[in-house]
Amino acid sequence: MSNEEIISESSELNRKKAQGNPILSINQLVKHFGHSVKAVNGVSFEVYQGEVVVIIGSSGSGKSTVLRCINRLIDPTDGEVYLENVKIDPKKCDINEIRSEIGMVFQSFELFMHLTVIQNVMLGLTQVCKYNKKKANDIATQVIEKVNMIDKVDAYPGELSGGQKQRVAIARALAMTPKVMLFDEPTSALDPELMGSVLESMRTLAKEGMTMVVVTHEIGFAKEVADWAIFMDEGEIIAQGTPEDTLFNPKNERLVKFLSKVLH
Amino acid sequence: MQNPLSKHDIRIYRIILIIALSMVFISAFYANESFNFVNAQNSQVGWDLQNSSTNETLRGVISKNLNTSWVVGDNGLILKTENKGATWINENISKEVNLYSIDFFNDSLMAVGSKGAIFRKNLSTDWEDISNSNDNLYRSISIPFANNATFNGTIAFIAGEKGEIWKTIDGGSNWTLLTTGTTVNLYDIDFINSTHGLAVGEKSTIIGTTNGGITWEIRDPEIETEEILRSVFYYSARKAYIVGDNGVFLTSVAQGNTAASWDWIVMLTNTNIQFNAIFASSQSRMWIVGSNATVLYSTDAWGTHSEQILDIKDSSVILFDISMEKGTHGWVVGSKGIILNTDDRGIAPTVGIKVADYSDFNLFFDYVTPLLMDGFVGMLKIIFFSMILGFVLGITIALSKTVDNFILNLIGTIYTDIIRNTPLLVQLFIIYFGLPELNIDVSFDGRIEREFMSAILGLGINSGAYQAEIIRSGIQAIPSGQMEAGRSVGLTYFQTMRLVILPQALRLTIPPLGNEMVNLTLNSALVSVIGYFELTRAGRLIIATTFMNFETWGFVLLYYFVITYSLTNLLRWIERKSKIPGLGAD
Repeated sequence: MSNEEIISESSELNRKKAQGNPILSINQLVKHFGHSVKAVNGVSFEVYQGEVVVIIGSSGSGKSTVLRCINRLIDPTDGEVYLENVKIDPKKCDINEIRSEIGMVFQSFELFMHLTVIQNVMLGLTQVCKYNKKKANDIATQVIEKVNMIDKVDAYPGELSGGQKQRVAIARALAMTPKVMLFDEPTSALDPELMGSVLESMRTLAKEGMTMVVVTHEIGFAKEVADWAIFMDEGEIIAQGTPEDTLFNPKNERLVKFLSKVLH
Repeated sequence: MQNPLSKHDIRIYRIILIIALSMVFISAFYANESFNFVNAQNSQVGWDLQNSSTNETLRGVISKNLNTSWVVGDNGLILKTENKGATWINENISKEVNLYSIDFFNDSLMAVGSKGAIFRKNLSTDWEDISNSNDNLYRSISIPFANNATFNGTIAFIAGEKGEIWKTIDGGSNWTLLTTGTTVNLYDIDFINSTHGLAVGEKSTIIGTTNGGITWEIRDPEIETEEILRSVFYYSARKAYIVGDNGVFLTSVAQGNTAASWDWIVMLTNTNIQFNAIFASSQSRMWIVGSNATVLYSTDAWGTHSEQILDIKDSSVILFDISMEKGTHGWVVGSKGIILNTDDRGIAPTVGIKVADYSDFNLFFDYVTPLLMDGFVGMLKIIFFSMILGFVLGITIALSKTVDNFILNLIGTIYTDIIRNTPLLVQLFIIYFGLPELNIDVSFDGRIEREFMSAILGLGINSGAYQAEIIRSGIQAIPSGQMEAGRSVGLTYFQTMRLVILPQALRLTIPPLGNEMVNLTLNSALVSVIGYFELTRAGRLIIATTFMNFETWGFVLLYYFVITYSLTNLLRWIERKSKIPGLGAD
């Protein structure tokens, strides 16, 4: 199945015209674990400035692997990733600097358990950006306020609910003023009740024009905020396009099947 | 699970245990003092204290033979013993005078004192008051000659205030005031025979006579200062000794054959106490007594001298007089009713020949405590340093085993595998006995004790392997997402390790690390075999002396328990203090 078949040509052209150069460009990404497991099998897509790209698909379809290949938490077997037209290559550029420009939010939060909320957010600012304590503290307070966690700045992660933890994780990524933020199923570990506050924070971010790549099962959220939706299955992109094309009026057989399962 | 004891109960039990142990330790610190006390009473003194039953100042002593002696003192006190001091009888003279001096020749006994007091006694009669009518203080009496059983023909001289010297030739019935040519207060007078005598007193005065006191001439004392000379001992025709205040000690040097032409030489005493009396039993052997409860003794004519050990704790006691019999048995008297006695020249018995009976628990406890404390400190030193070494090694090896690098993984694995699969004892042997053969010197050219360094290295390297495994397990217990999160923020691998993983991993490993510290402490017993002095070695040495196995090892056990138990509680406390909600078990 070729790319031409799955992308509606008109919508793709419109997107390019509107956005100019992509911030993130993934080209023929391949990741094999060992010899037999082909997690990602030639995935290509672009992310433009201010865009929310949603990746959906069943478990094991390679969505998270794609995300981790983008900031090199996993080394891809083949293919390239470009950040603002610069190839991400650990041998030629400082991978730590690039990572600090790509925020990431994990399914299991991964807050630093031994640090308080404000310390969690400040760690990157003081250690990577080398800001002094005062400046780091100011920035951290600002982003924590943005995710509505200002009353918990001195709490340890162990004292927070899942939704609160995830909002702190968002604040931690946000504090580094990233060019693009990657969300790896940010609400999957949360009760439906707690999900709302996290999605709310993400919505706010989207409205403010943050470029985001979101792996999610929240079709409702995807329909609401996504500018571009990608459906993956067995390490390949099966369908991509505007939410109108892919989510509201799915034509692909497997996508239809998936959506019907998720929605009911 | 239902705990039979509540947390509160356990805490109280621990507090009680800690208080009990600290009491044992406090008592151990006081043990030394009683040690000296016990010994002082038994064996280590040269002069034994006699029971005089009085607190009066005793100023004079004279002995007739080994058994019979008299002591005079304030308030008309004359004490007599006829059984080497076992009992003292007060020969009451019923007069409120202070007696200063007593002398004895053949059967005649005379004592003098304040308010012109003179008393005499023949061995067959009671004391007879023959006091002079003037109220002068007589400080000294000397009887150079007396006949048996009668006062007739008894010659005596008395020296007193204002340069007075009185002489009698009929046992004190009639007294003649001699012309001395001095008016200073005289403190002592001594005649070697009926013609030759010396008297000493204030302002460094020495006067002598060669004709039974008809004429007196002043002798130059050869000292610059004006001291009170308090005692003269006329040993032989050509040898006399004088002592006085500020540590003054003079001996005579005869020139030519005339007993009168003497020079005095000043002897070094290295003290400025007040000397009150001197006694010489030969030309070379002499004693000096004085203030600060001092008895000095020399056997080589003051070439060297030493202070003798008295059975007196109170150093404010002033000793006034000494009398020796046959050069070995003697008496010393002083203030506060002190009477001291010796049968062996005042020399303390040699200690160490006697085998102590350590089944006496007090003696055993006093003997072992300083040794065990030394061993305890020795053990603390090695466990402190080997804990540090072990921890540094542990973290380093744990990191090298978790980092994504084959060579470092291999080094770490080889290290932990070898150390954990060989006995610590053999490792200590390799380091202590083996390394010198390879010309590897762990003592830094002898600057640090080799046993000490080997012990630290052995224990540290051994513990390092176990700590490495503990810390590695802690690191691996931290979810891999924490590393991903750290890296995704932009931290490097080692930054993430240092700032994110290790702080969490170490908190998780406090309990097993604490166990390892306790193990290290207990393992430190093994270093006794390479000769380092710690608790177990102290125990072995104690047993070599006391043969008390159960008690000694019991004490050693207690000391180990104290340190490990404190360590355990310290780590519990650290664990509690470093606890963070949501991290580790609650």
